[in-house]
Amino acid sequence: MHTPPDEDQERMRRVALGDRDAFAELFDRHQAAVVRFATRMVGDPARAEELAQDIFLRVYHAAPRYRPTARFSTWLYRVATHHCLNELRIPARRGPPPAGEEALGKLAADAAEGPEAVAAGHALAHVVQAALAALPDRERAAFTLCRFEGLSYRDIAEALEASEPAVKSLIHRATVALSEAVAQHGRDP
Amino acid sequence: MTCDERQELVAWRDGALSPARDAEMATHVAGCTACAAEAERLERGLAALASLPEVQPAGPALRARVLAAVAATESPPAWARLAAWLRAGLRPRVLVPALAAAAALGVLVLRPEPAPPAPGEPTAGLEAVGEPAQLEAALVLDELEQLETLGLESPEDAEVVAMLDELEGRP
Repeated sequence: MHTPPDEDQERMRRVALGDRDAFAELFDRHQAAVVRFATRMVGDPARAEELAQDIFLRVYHAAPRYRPTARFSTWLYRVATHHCLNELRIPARRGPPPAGEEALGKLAADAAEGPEAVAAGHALAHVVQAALAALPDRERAAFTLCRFEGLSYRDIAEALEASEPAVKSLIHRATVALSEAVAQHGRDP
Repeated sequence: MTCDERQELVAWRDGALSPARDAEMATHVAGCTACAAEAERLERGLAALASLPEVQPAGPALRARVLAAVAATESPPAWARLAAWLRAGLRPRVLVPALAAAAALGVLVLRPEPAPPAPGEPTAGLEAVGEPAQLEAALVLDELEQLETLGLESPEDAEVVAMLDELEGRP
Protein backbone atom coordinates (compact mmCIF):
# COMPACT_ATOMS: atom_id res chain seq x y z
CA MET A 1 0.00 0.00 0.00
CA HIS A 2 1.37 3.39 -0.96
CA THR A 3 1.92 5.57 2.08
CA PRO A 4 2.16 9.30 1.56
CA PRO A 5 5.51 10.65 2.81
CA ASP A 6 5.47 12.02 6.33
CA GLU A 7 7.02 15.36 7.19
CA ASP A 8 10.11 13.78 8.71
CA GLN A 9 10.77 11.82 5.53
CA GLU A 10 10.72 15.15 3.72
CA ARG A 11 13.14 16.56 6.30
CA MET A 12 15.48 13.63 5.70
CA ARG A 13 15.35 14.37 1.99
CA ARG A 14 16.46 17.92 2.76
CA VAL A 15 19.19 16.69 5.11
CA ALA A 16 20.53 14.55 2.27
CA LEU A 17 20.82 17.69 0.20
CA GLY A 18 22.88 19.38 2.92
CA ASP A 19 20.12 21.16 4.88
CA ARG A 20 21.39 21.22 8.47
CA ASP A 21 18.37 23.17 9.69
CA ALA A 22 16.23 20.23 8.64
CA PHE A 23 18.48 17.95 10.67
CA ALA A 24 18.14 20.24 13.70
CA GLU A 25 14.35 19.99 13.30
CA LEU A 26 14.56 16.20 13.27
CA PHE A 27 16.74 16.28 16.36
CA ASP A 28 14.35 18.57 18.23
CA ARG A 29 11.36 16.43 17.31
CA HIS A 30 12.86 13.09 18.27
CA GLN A 31 15.65 13.57 20.79
CA ALA A 32 13.41 13.05 23.80
CA ALA A 33 12.18 9.69 22.49
CA VAL A 34 15.69 8.52 21.59
CA VAL A 35 17.15 9.55 24.95
CA ARG A 36 14.22 7.96 26.77
CA PHE A 37 14.59 4.71 24.84
CA ALA A 38 18.37 4.58 25.31
CA THR A 39 17.98 5.29 29.04
CA ARG A 40 15.57 2.39 29.44
CA MET A 41 17.93 0.15 27.50
CA VAL A 42 21.21 0.87 29.27
CA GLY A 43 19.96 2.13 32.64
CA ASP A 44 22.47 5.00 32.79
CA PRO A 45 21.23 8.47 31.74
CA ALA A 46 24.72 9.83 31.01
CA ARG A 47 25.57 6.86 28.81
CA ALA A 48 22.16 7.11 27.19
CA GLU A 49 22.93 10.67 26.11
CA GLU A 50 26.21 9.54 24.58
CA LEU A 51 24.35 6.82 22.68
CA ALA A 52 21.72 9.32 21.56
CA GLN A 53 24.48 11.54 20.18
CA ASP A 54 25.91 8.60 18.24
CA ILE A 55 22.47 7.65 16.95
CA PHE A 56 21.71 11.10 15.62
CA LEU A 57 25.09 11.34 13.94
CA ARG A 58 24.32 8.01 12.28
CA VAL A 59 21.04 9.47 11.10
CA TYR A 60 22.82 12.47 9.63
CA HIS A 61 25.40 10.40 7.80
CA ALA A 62 22.75 7.95 6.55
CA ALA A 63 20.61 10.68 5.02
CA PRO A 64 22.01 10.43 1.49
CA ARG A 65 21.10 6.72 1.44
CA TYR A 66 17.86 6.96 3.40
CA ARG A 67 14.80 5.51 1.67
CA PRO A 68 11.33 6.21 3.06
CA THR A 69 10.07 2.62 3.03
CA ALA A 70 8.51 3.07 6.48
CA ARG A 71 7.66 5.96 8.77
CA PHE A 72 10.77 7.92 9.70
CA SER A 73 10.16 7.32 13.41
CA THR A 74 10.10 3.55 12.86
CA TRP A 75 13.37 3.74 10.96
CA LEU A 76 14.87 5.92 13.70
CA TYR A 77 13.88 3.38 16.35
CA ARG A 78 15.48 0.68 14.22
CA VAL A 79 18.78 2.60 14.16
CA ALA A 80 18.52 3.32 17.88
CA THR A 81 17.70 -0.29 18.73
CA HIS A 82 20.60 -1.63 16.75
CA HIS A 83 23.00 0.88 18.27
CA CYS A 84 21.90 0.13 21.82
CA LEU A 85 21.95 -3.64 21.29
CA ASN A 86 25.41 -3.44 19.73
CA GLU A 87 26.59 -1.36 22.67
CA LEU A 88 25.27 -3.92 25.12
CA ARG A 89 27.10 -6.72 23.28
CA ILE A 90 30.48 -5.17 24.14
CA PRO A 91 31.47 -6.82 27.45
CA ALA A 92 33.72 -3.94 28.52
CA ARG A 93 30.81 -1.52 28.18
CA ARG A 94 28.20 -3.80 29.65
CA GLY A 95 28.90 -3.72 33.39
CA PRO A 96 26.14 -3.67 35.99
CA PRO A 97 23.91 -0.64 35.64
CA PRO A 98 24.35 1.98 38.36
CA ALA A 99 22.15 1.41 41.39
CA GLY A 100 19.98 3.86 43.24
CA GLU A 101 19.14 7.37 42.19
CA GLU A 102 22.04 7.51 39.74
CA ALA A 103 20.39 4.85 37.61
CA LEU A 104 17.17 6.78 37.39
CA GLY A 105 18.88 10.10 36.84
CA LYS A 106 16.62 12.98 36.20
CA LEU A 107 13.25 11.39 36.79
CA ALA A 108 10.74 14.19 36.72
CA ALA A 109 8.91 14.69 40.02
CA ASP A 110 5.35 15.93 40.00
CA ALA A 111 5.33 19.03 42.18
CA ALA A 112 1.71 18.37 43.12
CA GLU A 113 2.57 15.02 44.76
CA GLY A 114 3.37 14.78 48.45
CA PRO A 115 6.74 13.45 49.61
CA GLU A 116 5.32 10.00 50.44
CA ALA A 117 3.84 9.61 46.98
CA VAL A 118 7.09 10.76 45.38
CA ALA A 119 9.06 8.29 47.48
CA ALA A 120 6.65 5.49 46.61
CA GLY A 121 6.93 6.35 42.93
CA HIS A 122 10.73 6.29 43.10
CA ALA A 123 10.69 2.97 44.94
CA LEU A 124 8.50 1.47 42.23
CA ALA A 125 10.75 2.96 39.55
CA HIS A 126 13.75 1.23 41.14
CA VAL A 127 11.92 -2.10 41.05
CA VAL A 128 10.98 -1.59 37.39
CA GLN A 129 14.49 -0.52 36.40
CA ALA A 130 16.03 -3.53 38.13
CA ALA A 131 13.52 -5.86 36.47
CA LEU A 132 14.19 -4.22 33.08
CA ALA A 133 17.93 -4.64 33.55
CA ALA A 134 17.43 -8.34 34.27
CA LEU A 135 15.63 -8.95 30.96
CA PRO A 136 17.53 -10.30 27.96
CA ASP A 137 18.45 -7.36 25.74
CA ARG A 138 15.98 -8.05 22.95
CA GLU A 139 13.12 -8.59 25.41
CA ARG A 140 13.99 -5.29 27.02
CA ALA A 141 14.09 -3.57 23.64
CA ALA A 142 10.72 -5.01 22.57
CA PHE A 143 9.13 -4.21 25.93
CA THR A 144 10.47 -0.66 25.97
CA LEU A 145 9.33 0.04 22.42
CA CYS A 146 5.87 -1.33 23.29
CA ARG A 147 5.24 0.01 26.79
CA PHE A 148 7.19 3.25 26.85
CA GLU A 149 7.35 4.29 23.21
CA GLY A 150 3.89 3.06 22.18
CA LEU A 151 4.92 1.25 19.03
CA SER A 152 2.68 -1.37 17.49
CA TYR A 153 3.86 -4.97 17.32
CA ARG A 154 4.31 -4.50 13.60
CA ASP A 155 6.56 -1.45 14.03
CA ILE A 156 8.52 -3.21 16.76
CA ALA A 157 9.09 -6.10 14.36
CA GLU A 158 10.45 -3.57 11.88
CA ALA A 159 12.72 -2.00 14.51
CA LEU A 160 14.02 -5.35 15.75
CA GLU A 161 14.10 -6.93 12.30
CA ALA A 162 12.09 -9.80 13.71
CA SER A 163 8.80 -11.47 12.86
CA GLU A 164 5.60 -10.38 14.56
CA PRO A 165 5.20 -13.76 16.30
CA ALA A 166 8.72 -13.34 17.67
CA VAL A 167 7.86 -9.86 18.91
CA LYS A 168 4.69 -11.20 20.50
CA SER A 169 6.73 -13.78 22.39
CA LEU A 170 9.35 -11.25 23.50
CA ILE A 171 6.74 -8.83 24.81
CA HIS A 172 4.78 -11.60 26.52
CA ARG A 173 7.82 -12.87 28.45
CA ALA A 174 8.96 -9.39 29.40
CA THR A 175 5.50 -8.28 30.49
CA VAL A 176 4.98 -11.38 32.63
CA ALA A 177 8.40 -10.93 34.26
CA LEU A 178 7.80 -7.27 35.04
CA SER A 179 4.25 -7.82 36.24
CA GLU A 180 5.59 -10.45 38.65
CA ALA A 181 8.26 -7.98 39.88
CA VAL A 182 5.64 -5.29 40.46
CA ALA A 183 3.31 -7.77 42.19
CA GLN A 184 6.16 -8.94 44.41
CA HIS A 185 6.97 -5.33 45.29
CA GLY A 186 3.35 -4.81 46.21
CA ARG A 187 3.46 -7.78 48.57
CA ASP A 188 6.86 -6.85 50.06
CA PRO A 189 7.40 -3.08 49.58
CA MET B 1 -9.03 -24.74 24.15
CA THR B 2 -6.31 -25.33 26.75
CA CYS B 3 -4.78 -22.78 29.06
CA ASP B 4 -1.90 -22.48 26.70
CA GLU B 5 -4.10 -19.60 25.68
CA ARG B 6 -2.41 -17.63 28.45
CA GLN B 7 0.57 -17.33 26.08
CA GLU B 8 -1.55 -14.95 24.07
CA LEU B 9 -3.02 -13.02 26.98
CA VAL B 10 -0.56 -10.14 26.61
CA ALA B 11 -1.06 -9.87 22.85
CA TRP B 12 -4.84 -10.07 23.40
CA ARG B 13 -4.64 -7.35 26.00
CA ASP B 14 -2.54 -5.24 23.58
CA GLY B 15 -5.06 -5.66 20.77
CA ALA B 16 -2.45 -7.37 18.63
CA LEU B 17 -4.47 -10.41 17.61
CA SER B 18 -6.62 -10.86 14.54
CA PRO B 19 -10.30 -9.98 15.03
CA ALA B 20 -11.30 -13.65 14.98
CA ARG B 21 -8.63 -14.68 17.47
CA ASP B 22 -9.41 -11.67 19.63
CA ALA B 23 -13.02 -12.79 19.88
CA GLU B 24 -11.95 -16.36 20.73
CA MET B 25 -9.67 -15.09 23.49
CA ALA B 26 -12.34 -12.84 24.93
CA THR B 27 -14.73 -15.79 25.15
CA HIS B 28 -12.05 -18.03 26.66
CA VAL B 29 -10.93 -15.52 29.31
CA ALA B 30 -14.53 -14.98 30.36
CA GLY B 31 -14.82 -18.70 31.07
CA CYS B 32 -11.34 -19.64 32.37
CA THR B 33 -10.56 -18.80 36.00
CA ALA B 34 -6.82 -19.18 35.60
CA CYS B 35 -6.60 -16.97 32.52
CA ALA B 36 -8.92 -14.39 34.03
CA ALA B 37 -6.73 -14.19 37.14
CA GLU B 38 -3.59 -13.94 35.04
CA ALA B 39 -5.14 -11.22 32.90
CA GLU B 40 -5.96 -9.27 36.06
CA ARG B 41 -2.43 -9.65 37.36
CA LEU B 42 -0.98 -8.46 34.06
CA GLU B 43 -3.31 -5.50 34.09
CA ARG B 44 -2.24 -4.50 37.62
CA GLY B 45 1.41 -4.75 36.66
CA LEU B 46 0.91 -2.67 33.55
CA ALA B 47 -1.13 -0.12 35.45
CA ALA B 48 1.78 0.29 37.86
CA LEU B 49 4.16 0.85 34.95
CA ALA B 50 1.96 3.60 33.58
CA SER B 51 2.35 5.53 36.84
CA LEU B 52 6.15 5.63 36.64
CA PRO B 53 7.82 9.02 36.56
CA GLU B 54 8.86 9.99 33.08
CA VAL B 55 12.46 10.14 31.99
CA GLN B 56 13.29 13.77 31.30
CA PRO B 57 14.64 14.76 27.90
CA ALA B 58 18.28 15.73 27.68
CA GLY B 59 19.33 19.29 28.35
CA PRO B 60 20.57 21.77 25.73
CA ALA B 61 24.15 20.48 25.99
CA LEU B 62 23.30 17.36 23.99
CA ARG B 63 21.75 19.43 21.23
CA ALA B 64 24.81 21.67 21.12
CA ARG B 65 27.17 18.68 20.90
CA VAL B 66 25.21 16.97 18.15
CA LEU B 67 24.81 20.08 16.02
CA ALA B 68 28.46 20.98 16.52
CA ALA B 69 29.50 17.52 15.37
CA VAL B 70 27.29 17.87 12.31
CA ALA B 71 28.65 21.35 11.58
CA ALA B 72 32.18 19.94 11.72
CA THR B 73 31.20 17.33 9.15
CA GLU B 74 31.75 18.11 5.55
CA SER B 75 28.63 18.54 3.49
CA PRO B 76 27.55 15.37 1.71
CA PRO B 77 29.75 14.85 -1.34
CA ALA B 78 28.34 15.77 -4.71
CA TRP B 79 27.70 12.16 -5.67
CA ALA B 80 25.71 11.60 -2.46
CA ARG B 81 23.60 14.71 -3.04
CA LEU B 82 22.96 13.54 -6.62
CA ALA B 83 21.95 10.10 -5.35
CA ALA B 84 19.57 11.69 -2.84
CA TRP B 85 18.11 13.90 -5.56
CA LEU B 86 17.54 10.89 -7.79
CA ARG B 87 15.87 8.95 -5.01
CA ALA B 88 13.55 11.87 -4.42
CA GLY B 89 12.10 11.16 -7.86
CA LEU B 90 13.37 14.25 -9.62
CA ARG B 91 14.95 12.01 -12.17
CA PRO B 92 16.95 12.93 -15.19
CA ARG B 93 17.12 10.09 -17.68
CA VAL B 94 19.74 7.87 -16.06
CA LEU B 95 21.16 4.47 -16.95
CA VAL B 96 23.07 2.59 -14.24
CA PRO B 97 24.52 -0.61 -15.71
CA ALA B 98 26.57 -1.20 -12.52
CA LEU B 99 26.23 1.49 -9.86
CA ALA B 100 29.76 1.08 -8.50
CA ALA B 101 31.30 0.98 -11.95
CA ALA B 102 29.35 4.04 -13.01
CA ALA B 103 30.54 5.93 -9.91
CA ALA B 104 34.13 4.89 -10.58
CA LEU B 105 33.94 6.00 -14.16
CA GLY B 106 32.10 9.15 -13.19
CA VAL B 107 29.86 8.79 -16.22
CA LEU B 108 26.11 9.06 -16.46
CA VAL B 109 24.31 7.65 -19.49
CA LEU B 110 20.77 8.64 -20.13
CA ARG B 111 17.79 6.37 -20.49
CA PRO B 112 14.04 7.02 -20.62
CA GLU B 113 12.45 7.68 -17.26
CA PRO B 114 10.25 4.80 -16.03
CA ALA B 115 6.50 5.39 -15.96
CA PRO B 116 5.24 6.80 -12.64
CA PRO B 117 3.45 4.31 -10.35
CA ALA B 118 -0.33 4.05 -10.60
CA PRO B 119 -2.29 5.62 -7.74
CA GLY B 120 -2.25 3.36 -4.69
CA GLU B 121 0.78 1.44 -5.85
CA PRO B 122 4.12 1.73 -4.08
CA THR B 123 6.63 4.14 -5.48
CA ALA B 124 9.03 2.31 -7.78
CA GLY B 125 12.22 1.58 -5.95
CA LEU B 126 14.57 -1.11 -7.03
CA GLU B 127 12.03 -2.26 -9.62
CA ALA B 128 12.72 0.93 -11.55
CA VAL B 129 16.33 -0.06 -12.01
CA GLY B 130 15.29 -2.57 -14.65
CA GLU B 131 17.71 -5.13 -16.02
CA PRO B 132 18.95 -8.02 -13.83
CA ALA B 133 22.53 -6.72 -13.66
CA GLN B 134 21.33 -3.32 -12.58
CA LEU B 135 19.01 -4.85 -9.98
CA GLU B 136 21.79 -7.02 -8.59
CA ALA B 137 24.14 -4.07 -8.28
CA ALA B 138 21.43 -2.03 -6.61
CA LEU B 139 20.64 -4.85 -4.15
CA VAL B 140 24.29 -5.17 -3.19
CA LEU B 141 24.59 -1.45 -2.60
CA ASP B 142 21.32 -1.45 -0.69
CA GLU B 143 22.62 -4.18 1.61
CA LEU B 144 25.91 -2.37 2.16
CA GLU B 145 24.10 0.85 2.95
CA GLN B 146 21.85 -0.88 5.46
CA LEU B 147 24.86 -2.50 7.15
CA GLU B 148 26.63 0.83 7.45
CA THR B 149 23.56 2.58 8.80
CA LEU B 150 23.03 -0.11 11.42
CA GLY B 151 26.67 -0.04 12.51
CA LEU B 152 27.68 -3.43 11.19
CA GLU B 153 30.93 -3.81 9.34
CA SER B 154 30.02 -6.70 7.06
CA PRO B 155 27.40 -9.35 6.33
CA GLU B 156 29.42 -11.60 8.65
CA ASP B 157 28.62 -9.18 11.47
CA ALA B 158 24.95 -9.58 10.70
CA GLU B 159 25.36 -13.35 10.95
CA VAL B 160 27.12 -13.01 14.31
CA VAL B 161 24.30 -10.79 15.53
CA ALA B 162 21.77 -13.39 14.43
CA MET B 163 23.68 -16.14 16.24
CA LEU B 164 23.87 -14.08 19.43
CA ASP B 165 20.14 -13.51 19.21
CA GLU B 166 19.62 -17.27 19.05
CA LEU B 167 21.87 -17.82 22.07
CA GLU B 168 19.84 -15.26 23.97
CA GLY B 169 16.83 -17.40 23.34
CA ARG B 170 15.11 -15.24 20.78
CA PRO B 171 12.27 -17.41 19.41
